[in-house]
Amino acid sequence: MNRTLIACLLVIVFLFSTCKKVEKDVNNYYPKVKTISATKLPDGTVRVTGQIVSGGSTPIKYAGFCMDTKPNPDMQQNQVLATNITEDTFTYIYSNFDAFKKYYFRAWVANTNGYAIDSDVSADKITLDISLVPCQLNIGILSLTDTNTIIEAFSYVAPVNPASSDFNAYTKNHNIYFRFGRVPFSGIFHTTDADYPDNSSVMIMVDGNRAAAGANVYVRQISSTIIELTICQITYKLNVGGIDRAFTLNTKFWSPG
Amino acid sequence: MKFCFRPHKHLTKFLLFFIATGICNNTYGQLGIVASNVVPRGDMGRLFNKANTVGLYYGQNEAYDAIKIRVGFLYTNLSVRKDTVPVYQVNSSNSNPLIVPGYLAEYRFYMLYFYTDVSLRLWRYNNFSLYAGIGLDAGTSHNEFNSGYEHVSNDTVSNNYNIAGLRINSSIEYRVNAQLDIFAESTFNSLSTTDKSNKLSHYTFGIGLGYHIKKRDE
Repeated sequence: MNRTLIACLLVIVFLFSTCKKVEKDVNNYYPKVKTISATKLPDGTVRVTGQIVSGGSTPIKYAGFCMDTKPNPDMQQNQVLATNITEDTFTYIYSNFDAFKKYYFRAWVANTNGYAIDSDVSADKITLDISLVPCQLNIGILSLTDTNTIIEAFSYVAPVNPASSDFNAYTKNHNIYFRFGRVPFSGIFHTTDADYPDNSSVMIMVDGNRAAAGANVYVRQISSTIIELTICQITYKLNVGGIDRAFTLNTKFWSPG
Repeated sequence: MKFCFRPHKHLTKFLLFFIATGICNNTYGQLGIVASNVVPRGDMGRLFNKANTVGLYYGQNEAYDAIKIRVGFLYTNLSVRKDTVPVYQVNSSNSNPLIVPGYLAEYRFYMLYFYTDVSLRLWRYNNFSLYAGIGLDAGTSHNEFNSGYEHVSNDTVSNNYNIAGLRINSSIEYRVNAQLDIFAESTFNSLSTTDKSNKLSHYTFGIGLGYHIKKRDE
């Protein structure tokens, strides 16, 4: 009889140990989220902030945002996972906005049981703050410096090719080729020596010579079809008469122009 | 929506089987009926509301009612707690988007299982007895729902599962006379589908009547 009772108790403990508490309010199983803000940053990016109002009955597995130029974007539109999560707040920085469009952002979260998404917040006139550009240059001028400085005016700048995000700029004697990771609107792009840059990078060739990686290219949208590019002190190497010479490039121009 | 699982047909057969078994049985058998409230737990409790049900059993007592052995069945039809459940799908890690939102709606669920349990009398006072026991459940469940994922699919899903598990029970019984008992019982059933994909844990709290086919000794 004692062994029987012990066996019964063990079964009871086992069965109850597999039992999860039932929430009285069924909505407590599912997370709740709030889209807090979309803050324009001086470099032409937008920091979106969301808040986990309630994680539900299981831990949050995913948190992120979606974005579109139409109100209340679908959760799959430009969907990203949050890159910075602190306690109940999470953020992500979107970049490369058209300054002449309005953008809508929504925060979402998901736990094991399901997901939740909040209504949108918006931001418009998102552009690079010109005070961040470290050099003040005249528009339409190319300056190349090693021991001497060559200054030439641009004779033609092609429009950005939306299909490949690249274009050429020509002076009388020189050519600069740009290949962006995506169609540039506003922001700070970083030079790379990769053949196919990522979304935040640009590959530059001056007269066929690749510019050094790690420098900044400042892009500011002037109108819906024109962007302004500013390059401050980007170096590249050119072999002249069998000797490698380092040149410094400074320029400011419009595309197309 | 047409449902292919027709429990009322099965219930009629079971009812006839139990009555026939009871009539033909020559030992101290009993036929019983239990009206229960089914209380889902765990993952089942997230989806379904409580429900009332009625079950039948055939039992046999041994050792002057110190041991009860029962075979019975329970059928229950549970309603959902939330009309539309916000679910999601996860794409592969290098996909964008990663999370695809979806829904479950118009969820319907039926469960029919047989059980057998053995209970021991722990305490007795006059005509009152306290029992506790363990047993096994086995049967089938059926669910149907509409399911969809944004820009991907919308489907009507219908599944039948075999289910099995353990049960524990406790009851307090009052002997009315030589042929009739009334009792209140609680059970905890820890069932899962045989492919282990779903757990169907639930309590039942019920009251019942047991009719002994042959009069017991007073």
